[in-house]
Amino acid sequence: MSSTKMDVFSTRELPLLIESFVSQLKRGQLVGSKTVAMNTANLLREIVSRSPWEDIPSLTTLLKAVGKRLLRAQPRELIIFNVVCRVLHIVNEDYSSVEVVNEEGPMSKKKGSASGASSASKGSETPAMGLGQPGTGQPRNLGEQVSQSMDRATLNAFHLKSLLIQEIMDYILELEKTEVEIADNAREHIHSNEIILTCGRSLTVEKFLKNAASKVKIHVIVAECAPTYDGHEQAQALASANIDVVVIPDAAVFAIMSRVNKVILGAHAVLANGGLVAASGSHTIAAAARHHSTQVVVCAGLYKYSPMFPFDDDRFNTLVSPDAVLPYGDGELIDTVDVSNPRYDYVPPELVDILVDHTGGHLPSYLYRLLQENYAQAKDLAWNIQDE
Amino acid sequence: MARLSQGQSAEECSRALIQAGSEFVQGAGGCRDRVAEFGSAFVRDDHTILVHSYSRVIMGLLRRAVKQNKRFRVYVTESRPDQSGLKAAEELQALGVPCEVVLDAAVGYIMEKVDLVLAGAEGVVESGGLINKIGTYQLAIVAKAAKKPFYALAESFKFVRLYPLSQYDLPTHRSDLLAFKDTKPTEDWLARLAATNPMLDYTPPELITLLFTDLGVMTPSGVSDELIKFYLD
Repeated sequence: MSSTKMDVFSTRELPLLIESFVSQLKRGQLVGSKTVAMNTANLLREIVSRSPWEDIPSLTTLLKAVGKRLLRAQPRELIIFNVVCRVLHIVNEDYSSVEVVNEEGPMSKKKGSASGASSASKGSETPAMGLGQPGTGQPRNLGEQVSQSMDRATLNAFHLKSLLIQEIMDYILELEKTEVEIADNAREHIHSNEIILTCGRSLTVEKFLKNAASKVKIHVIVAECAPTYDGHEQAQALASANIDVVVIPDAAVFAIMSRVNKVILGAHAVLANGGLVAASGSHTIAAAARHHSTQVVVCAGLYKYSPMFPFDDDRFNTLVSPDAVLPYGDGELIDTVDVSNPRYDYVPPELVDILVDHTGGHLPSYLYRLLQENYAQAKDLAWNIQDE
Repeated sequence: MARLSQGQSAEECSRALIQAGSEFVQGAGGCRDRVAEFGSAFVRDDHTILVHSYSRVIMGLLRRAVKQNKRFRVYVTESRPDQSGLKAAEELQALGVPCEVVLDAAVGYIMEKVDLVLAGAEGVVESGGLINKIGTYQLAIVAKAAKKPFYALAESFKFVRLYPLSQYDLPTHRSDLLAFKDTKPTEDWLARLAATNPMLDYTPPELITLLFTDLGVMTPSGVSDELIKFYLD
């Protein structure tokens, strides 16, 4: 249609692209949430710009199919799901913004009154948008209406594609700048001469603390997070910015907590109820902080906010090699003892005080609003996928 | 009714109203299925569930979980004075789910063994709190104390624009409930019990973990947002 033959995928190119991404995921070659997010977003942008799609519903179906494929390759990687949902939301939002202008006010309200998760969210969108649009609700004669909507339909095909690609590029840009924008909020949460506790290795938290340290004097205590000992790397990174850093063993967290002013944690993912999937050891720290009534601040980019609910604590956890906990060389002990090495911790929402993303700080109870704004149209995808 | 404009006759208006009404009734049946769809994922193998009284939505959810070949056990509270829990137990038994009827007073006793608590709803208020059969509030308090998740199931048409601050702010509250009124000495205490006890109570949102509705799973704080959207037109 609007794209030349050269730009459009050949019949084999698209599956190949997806396959190579899937195998990268399966082999664990994509390390780090941000890398995964960027790669997924880029893949989806490629699909939107180069796949032969005729209208939005078929594009949505294609994206959903790709999303399911990616998720099946790496079901516990929530980031992929978030990115797919976000892109779907972008697509559907543009679709409904054009749709609302096409339809009469009462027609869109009729859609709103029909029950159904997706149509309810779409219908509930239209009243809000209808308020802002001067055209809807005014009596129009049917003929004029039909001819106008037909003009718009043909306009769609050309303009919508470039609009979509532009919006996805904006999203990718937002992804790139996530940590920097979160770090800009640092001064609001960290005051001078505070003693801050953190754990494990998190680029977001590192930038956050460095930003604060560039303006005020702070002291940071890092829990080393055995058996990966990521805390050591974090301490080195922070020390390179001339921050006062102390590394403590995980067992000392409760003992130290009474001296700590604030706890700042990173997260692998933030779930829809406000709970976190975070580095192993985070739950202990958060519980110790709650006991001492110390504030827990979680820095996580918007791409980590997932519309999924944790059905149980271990749904999103993986076990990695127990060799780091108890070396395989210890022959006799290995036979009698079960060793497990969970990668993540689930931190319940009651233990989290503030979630900081690039727009600022939010309460965990506010998450439903953020999710609605970013993922509303794609919630049904969540329920289709989690059954598998 | 936004679709009714000024110029329509009374007949057209009544037709539109009837149309909307029948659409609503048709949709309402589907609501329960959607709630079951969203909520059944929270029921997993080997779970012990505590259910309060008889609720069609809960039965729908458990039926769906059984269809998904999940193995779980259910404690059902007897739910005096109408003993509606017994009806729930019969239905569950027919489904092949192992169940036990629990005295309302024994809820604290078994709470440690329970993995999650399910309650239906007569109404969901603006704060995210729940109006349901008497005993729900107690159940929620015990669940909170034992750190067990408490899930409420409600269709979206049960959302009400009320903001009760206490048990006695409910519209069902009567001043003669449990009011120590006696004109003559009571001989039949059982009958008096049935007459003077309340049938509904209010569960505040802090005790509710999540709400399963046909609009999706939401935290109690999300309820007021949905309500606003509902009533916006």
